[in-house]
Amino acid sequence: MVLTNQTHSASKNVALLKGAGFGLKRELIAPLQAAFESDLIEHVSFLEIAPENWIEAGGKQAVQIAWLAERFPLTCHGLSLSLGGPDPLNTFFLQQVKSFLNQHKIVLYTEHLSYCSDLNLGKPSYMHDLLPIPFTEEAVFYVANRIKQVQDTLERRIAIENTSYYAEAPISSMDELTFLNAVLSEADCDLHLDINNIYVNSVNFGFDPHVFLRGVPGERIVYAHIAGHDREADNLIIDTHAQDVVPEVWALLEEAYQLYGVFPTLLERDTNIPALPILMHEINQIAVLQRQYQAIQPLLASA
Amino acid sequence: MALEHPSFQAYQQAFCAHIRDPKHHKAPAKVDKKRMAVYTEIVFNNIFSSVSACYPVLQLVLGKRAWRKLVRDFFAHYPSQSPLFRDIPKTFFNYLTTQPNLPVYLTSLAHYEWLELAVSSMQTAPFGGENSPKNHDLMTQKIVVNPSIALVKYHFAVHQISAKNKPTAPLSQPIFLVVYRNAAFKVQFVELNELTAQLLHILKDKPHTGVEALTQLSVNLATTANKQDPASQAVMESQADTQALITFGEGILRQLQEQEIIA
Repeated sequence: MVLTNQTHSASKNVALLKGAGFGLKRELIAPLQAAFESDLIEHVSFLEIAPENWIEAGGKQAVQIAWLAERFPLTCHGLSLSLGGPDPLNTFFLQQVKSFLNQHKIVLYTEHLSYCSDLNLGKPSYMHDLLPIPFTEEAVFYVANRIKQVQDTLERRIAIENTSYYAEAPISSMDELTFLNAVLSEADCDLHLDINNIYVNSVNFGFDPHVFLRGVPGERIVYAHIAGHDREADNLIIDTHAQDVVPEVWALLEEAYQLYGVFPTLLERDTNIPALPILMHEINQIAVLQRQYQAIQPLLASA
Repeated sequence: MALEHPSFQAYQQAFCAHIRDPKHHKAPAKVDKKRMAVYTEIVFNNIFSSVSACYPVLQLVLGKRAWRKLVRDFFAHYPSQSPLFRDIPKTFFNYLTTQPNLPVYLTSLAHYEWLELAVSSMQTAPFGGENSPKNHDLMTQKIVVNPSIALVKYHFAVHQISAKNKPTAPLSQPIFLVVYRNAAFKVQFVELNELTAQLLHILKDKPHTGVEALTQLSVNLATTANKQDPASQAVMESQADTQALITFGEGILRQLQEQEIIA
């Protein structure tokens, strides 16, 4: 297998991805189908799905994915690749992802800078939740190599998301931003900037989210997420995607557009999902911000 | 050795081991206890709700405490090797089959509950509605079987088990069920008599016309009867039986067609 110095240009389709979208949950499919081509969803430019929920789909789901893929640009935001996992990369699953991306002409595939599996009694085993990788130098190279392997296998660039977390590893030798930047640079992959996660982690670990935002490699940003969360305590946010987006996160998104220019931006809402017309308020708000900054030269232009 | 097991991976293993089984595996040294507890709670709750959603009756029969304990043991000790969330309930079922102390009827019940999910998400060719032949003569033309069907046999009345109705012994005769998706993607459960179950097995095996399938069924019955009682007149009477079975079977096939089990 070729693992070194292979570069992958962004798929042509990624350039076509723009505007606002939302993460498609099962309960939103019927309302979306009913609202198709109506003004209600005029600002929905794309939809995001988790490949883990649609790979090997049969029955009603198989019909739904075909309907969606014919009508919307789709992005995939993976949950189970476990880029930082201590068990071997699941290459069988990676091939399934590859077929799925190609079959449904998925324009962008992103994954988390985290892991979700371990070796349980010596066997690779999924935890089915996102866990924080300790920020060490060894981990930078380990994860970056796995990202390269994924890009080589998929024959496309992928984007990596900065992930929310709750517990710092005492063995970490660098901060989150340093780790993120080192992985992106070492793997030469794109950045999926999660604005909400910057804010969540800034509260959970007491750092300045604006400094973090200014510190990411703007030229690698291809995609962004915003979401709501649950505030458990003054210094603890649980990233539930169960609430409306808070004003601080809106402000960070605006600042990101100012700094780096406009990029396709997705609203995540995973539980406590409001009716589609209510959900559209936040989608429309993204679209308003995007229009506002579309024609303005970014402060930290990378060109 | 450092290269084979970098220290960050040893940390990850300890972190995960604690999440899986906090009582028996200490958290990694110096990790904030409260924050560690966030993980032990949310990761298990996620698994717990994924499993629970598939087994509503099983958890009622077991009771809250025993159910939670069982799912905890599954999460702590059974490797979950599929990255797909849909597969968590199936992995849990596989785990149940490795539990020697679980009453057999509970494994049957779990299989029955899992089957609904399995059939609803089964990847199959389209069937029903516009995809099925119209004005089809079931007796003389090849019958198409709904590709989503699962034909199952249980030694307990799994569809009647509840917290107040726990079987104490297996049934004297097993029950036969066909589970399938209709054209509207709803999962249906239909109880069959043994003869109809056998007929469906024949149809499912390879394409038959109604007459062919019922003739085959008649041959199978005669063979079975012969084996059980070689002195019987089964073979000699079989021609007359076949005709009777074909006449009788036509009604059964019509009914299966109406139920969207065949077309």
